[in-house]
Amino acid sequence: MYSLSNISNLSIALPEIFLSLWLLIFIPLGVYSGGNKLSRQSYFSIFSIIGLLGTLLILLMGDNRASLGFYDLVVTDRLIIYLKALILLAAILVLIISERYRSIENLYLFEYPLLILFSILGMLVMLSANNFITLYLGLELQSLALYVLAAAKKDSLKSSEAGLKYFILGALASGFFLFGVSLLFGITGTTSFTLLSFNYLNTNEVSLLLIFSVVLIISSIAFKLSIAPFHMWTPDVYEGAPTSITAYFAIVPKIAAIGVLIRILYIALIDINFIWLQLVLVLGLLSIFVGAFGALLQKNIKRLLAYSAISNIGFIFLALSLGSQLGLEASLLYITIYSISAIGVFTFILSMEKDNIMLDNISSYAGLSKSNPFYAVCLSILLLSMAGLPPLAGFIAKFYVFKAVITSGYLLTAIVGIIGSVISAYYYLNIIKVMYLDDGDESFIIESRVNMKIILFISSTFILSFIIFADSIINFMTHISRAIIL
Amino acid sequence: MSSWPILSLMIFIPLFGAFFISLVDGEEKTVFKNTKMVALWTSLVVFILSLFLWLNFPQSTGFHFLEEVKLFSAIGISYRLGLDGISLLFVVLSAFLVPVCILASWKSIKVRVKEYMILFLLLETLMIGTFCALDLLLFYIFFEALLIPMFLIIGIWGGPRRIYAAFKFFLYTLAGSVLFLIAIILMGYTSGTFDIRELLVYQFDYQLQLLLWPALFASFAVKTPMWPFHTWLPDAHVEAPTAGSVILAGVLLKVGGYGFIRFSIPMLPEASDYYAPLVFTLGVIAIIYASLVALMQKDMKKLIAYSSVAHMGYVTIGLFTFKQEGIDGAIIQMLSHGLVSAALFLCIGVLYDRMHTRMISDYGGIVSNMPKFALIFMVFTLASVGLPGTSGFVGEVLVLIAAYKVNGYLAFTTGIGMILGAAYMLWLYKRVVFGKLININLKNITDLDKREYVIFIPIIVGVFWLGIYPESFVIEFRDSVTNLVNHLNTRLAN
Repeated sequence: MYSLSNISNLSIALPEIFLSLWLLIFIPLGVYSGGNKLSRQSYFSIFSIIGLLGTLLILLMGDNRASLGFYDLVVTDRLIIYLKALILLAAILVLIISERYRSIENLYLFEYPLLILFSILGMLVMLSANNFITLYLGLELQSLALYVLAAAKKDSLKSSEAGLKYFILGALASGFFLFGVSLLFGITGTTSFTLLSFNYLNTNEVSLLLIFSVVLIISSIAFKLSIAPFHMWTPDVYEGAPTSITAYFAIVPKIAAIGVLIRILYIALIDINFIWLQLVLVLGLLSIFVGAFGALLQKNIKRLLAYSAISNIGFIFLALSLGSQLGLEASLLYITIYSISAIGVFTFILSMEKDNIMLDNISSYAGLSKSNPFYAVCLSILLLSMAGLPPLAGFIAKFYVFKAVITSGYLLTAIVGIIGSVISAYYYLNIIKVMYLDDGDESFIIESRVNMKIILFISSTFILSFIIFADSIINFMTHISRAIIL
Repeated sequence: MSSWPILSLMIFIPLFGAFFISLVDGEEKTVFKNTKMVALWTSLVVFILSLFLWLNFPQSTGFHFLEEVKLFSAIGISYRLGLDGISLLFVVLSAFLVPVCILASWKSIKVRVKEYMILFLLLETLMIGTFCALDLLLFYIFFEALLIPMFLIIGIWGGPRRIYAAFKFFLYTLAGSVLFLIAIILMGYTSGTFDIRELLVYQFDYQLQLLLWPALFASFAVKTPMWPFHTWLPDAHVEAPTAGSVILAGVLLKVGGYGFIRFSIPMLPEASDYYAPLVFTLGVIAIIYASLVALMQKDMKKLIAYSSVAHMGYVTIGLFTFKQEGIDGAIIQMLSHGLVSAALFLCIGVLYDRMHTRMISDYGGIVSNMPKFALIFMVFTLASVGLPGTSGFVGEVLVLIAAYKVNGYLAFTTGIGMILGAAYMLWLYKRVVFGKLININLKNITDLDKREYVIFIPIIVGVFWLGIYPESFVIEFRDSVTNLVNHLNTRLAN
């Protein structure tokens, strides 16, 4: 069954191999060259950014045809390559915008970029996985790195609490995942996605056990994506973790988990989609509402963004719950636009610092439109886009989701989803109100780095002008989503 | 010249002006002066372009000055623009009111002038875009984006309860328009196109129409506003700066009426016929209820705001009669209301700039110190009442005739509104302008200055022109309306 070329198909795992080797150099380098010295920090960051860029380069140079390798444990196709590239790019940008924050908060640990690279490696493995066991390896690698990162601020009680909470709940979710997979293995005798999709799931024999295992697997991924009702950890972890890590949490692992969810739902479990369609739909709608209502009264921008993430991922679930090509495209478009606007918003948050203290409270943004008009305009564009106002990118993303939902015939779902989106418009608007309508300290000038300003500018310009090149981007999404044939 | 993308020019010149203003830098005083000048000239250029459009407008039905660029095929949005007789005059009205607003805020806006002018030019772009759009989604994009500058104008330069008013305005309108969005998606994907020209003749299934109509209605009824969706309007008007109220009353309310005439009625004729009694009921309630509420207002701006609700009641009744006179009358009523209510808000602005109060009880007897102002205020009061010879008369009479053709009781109850309208407007005028001068502060009040004349005189000309020789306006949209009425009659006969 397995040909020699299939075993030695090294090229499809080349990015992961490169990143592992890079990490092997990184560890001794960090330990032996004074890893925790102030003067070395930027070198380590640059070192890790170069590593990520190299991985990205190898990834993009590689063959983008669909192929399997390592006894079918590992797979690659256009969709996977796109998501990996998105992860790497987002990680590079997050590393760049966290530099200043780390110097303010004294996060001088070479382990910081190291752990980020480890988690990236885990995510790449997750996305490559064509087998639940490979997937689990990647999932644990990234999760363990993330638990430590959440607690990176050692002297802060909240950060430690965030790390511990994330670890305990995350471990529980991993347990669920393993349990679900073992049940699935018990029923079908395989853990391979391809085999599951082809032969082993006989739709005539739906047992309670099968439903049970599907529910367990989906809920553990839902936990990683902070989908309601598995979202309880999110606001606390977002608030407690160092802000630069929150930025990382809000973007990069989300992309990976969405990719994994797409592979599980649309490849491994596609034959039994009647089990999960309704489930994913309900989870999506629930998250939209939990996110919308939860954020209404938040005073801390990080907690607010946690709820905003819950609601945004809810929209992706809504799109995925259709089980159609259009739903897949819509979810890919949504996660792309979400990542770009989230990077912009976090660049803003990481720039907000006064006398070496980070400003996390929304009320501290009062009067920003007078003192720092550039930042206020950029953030307003990004928030209005998240609220889904035309003609910004967020509108098109939501429009595409609702188009997919309505053309699939779920009119009522669309109405409920849109109501959720109107409610969430309120709190985005509230931040704009604070910046534009409230009076604040006019002498407050944000001193941030030029590269952060550039990233903020580019992301908000992209969001603003998205409508001009939306056509080619949507065509591209269609092209990559064809990698999965439904 | 006809090959020029003149509509795009009108849409993008204000945007360009706004960009130019954002570059203005230097000493505060010069910045203020320069931004005002740039904004004024930009809006005047757009106004001249709109007049050029009007003069060169072909005397035939259908859409002219077409432009089309594919934006994205995956969703089906195109950048399609075009004007027919109905939308033409709304574009001219918008382009006319923006320079008036900029002049009106010349002195009263003292903080953040730069942002103010940028937002007004942005508003102009979006308003013209809304009326020119020939693509359902493009229309929605302009329509929805209008909220953002208006939210900021009310929120930043408004009165003491501005934040409450701005939020109420924004969320109310947003809630209405998302239902519209669902309807758009449904309409677009059932018919296979978002092109308004094709949708105008597409025949939707009757059951689907009955579903789509309320969704469209929710959005336009909030914008118009119809009773009982009007509660955001008094708050927004009272808190908005003068120019904000002018644009709100002059143009934004018309977007609702325009939505009915462009989408609800021609695209969903059977459903419109089915729901017409509902619209009549709400319209009659709006006219009588809002007039009675207006009678008892203490704040002048609130009074005019409620009178807007009443006047827009005529518009909706006129539109849903499906008669030539009714629709003609409704369009004239919208244009007239655009001029008259804008002018009334400007009058209140004149008083407010001098006395910093809008309470009726604070005034009285200003005729002795402000005779010229009293005369101008009189003209607009009578126009609002509907005195023959002014613009208000033509619209109301046409609507009444059409209402009588539908139902005698409808005409009767609508007519009562005219009497009530005269009551509250004349009483307002009496209390503010005549009587004894009691308030000592009023003794030093000054009459209109040159700038204020420049603002009022064009509006007065417009009011009389529309009142005495409405034919020059009606000729532009008569054929389009006839077409619409024929279309309705053939569809409803089946």
